[in-house]
Amino acid sequence: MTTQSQMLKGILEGCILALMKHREVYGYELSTLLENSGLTFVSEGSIYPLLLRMQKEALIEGTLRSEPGAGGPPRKYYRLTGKGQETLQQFKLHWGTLKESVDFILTSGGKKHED
Amino acid sequence: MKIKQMIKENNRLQDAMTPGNLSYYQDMVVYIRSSSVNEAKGEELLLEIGQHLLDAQAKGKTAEEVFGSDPEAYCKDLVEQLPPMKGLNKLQLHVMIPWISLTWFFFVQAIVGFIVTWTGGPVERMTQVRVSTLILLAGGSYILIQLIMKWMKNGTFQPEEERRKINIRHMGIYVVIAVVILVGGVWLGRLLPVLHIQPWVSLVIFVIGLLGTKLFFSSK
Repeated sequence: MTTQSQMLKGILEGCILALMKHREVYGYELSTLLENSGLTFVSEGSIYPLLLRMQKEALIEGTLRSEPGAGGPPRKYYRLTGKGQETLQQFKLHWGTLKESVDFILTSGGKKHED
Repeated sequence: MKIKQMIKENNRLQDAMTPGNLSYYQDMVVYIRSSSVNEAKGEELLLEIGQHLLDAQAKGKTAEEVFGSDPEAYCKDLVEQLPPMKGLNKLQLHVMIPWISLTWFFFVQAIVGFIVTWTGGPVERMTQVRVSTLILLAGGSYILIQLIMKWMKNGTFQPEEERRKINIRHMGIYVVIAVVILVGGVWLGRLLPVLHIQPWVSLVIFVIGLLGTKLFFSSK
């Protein structure tokens, strides 16, 4: 796996955790949310191997059930675990630092302004 | 949700798919079901991606647009992440084939034995069971069915023309293996003893086999 795709996977994982922070989400809904957020590099199907890995690592857990209001098709709803919450916090912290550094390099070319 | 229920739901999803999406999805189903993964988790995933495909289909998307142009690599990714089949389930799967073939062998043995007894035929000869026949039946059925399963998995994701060629090649290998097993059986038959099993004993063995099938393998 290339460094770039590894990095993208890490970012995608962080975004998935963030989208599940406040409510349960199912697969198709998740891919729509990612796409609507502008993450168009993510192909729809690629979330499933990732969701399986995140379950294996106990970051999220899923339950298969019919939609509220009965009669709906059974879907697997995902939510964060305690470990997932912690990982999300760490991701936010790392992302904040990384974003700041990259922004600094892109805007100033890495030079601090001298008064 | 129970496995049976999930399979039923899965069939319902397939009924709603377009022919192109259905063919793509069915290959995924064969691949994942014939992999050594936890059955419940595998079915759960198939249901999940099947429902996703239907949602995407409603928006005019094809399976290829959703899951990519290399379904085999995609399924490999999924299987790698799915929990593996538990040891006991794996054992059940391996024991099931010889168990069922021997059970039905004794059914035939009992029926033939009773008919010969009632019609006054050569009972002594018809109640003979070679130990080599039992070994041959158990081992042979296991090898031949395992081969079919393996080839079914390998044949998925291949274009129709390629699949036909593979099938003909496999058929040839299959016949050769079946002949080797039979010849081996004849050779083994000279070394191993012959048992005399009365028809009613065969019937009892068949009933025990049938009960065992229900008890140990019914979820399969």
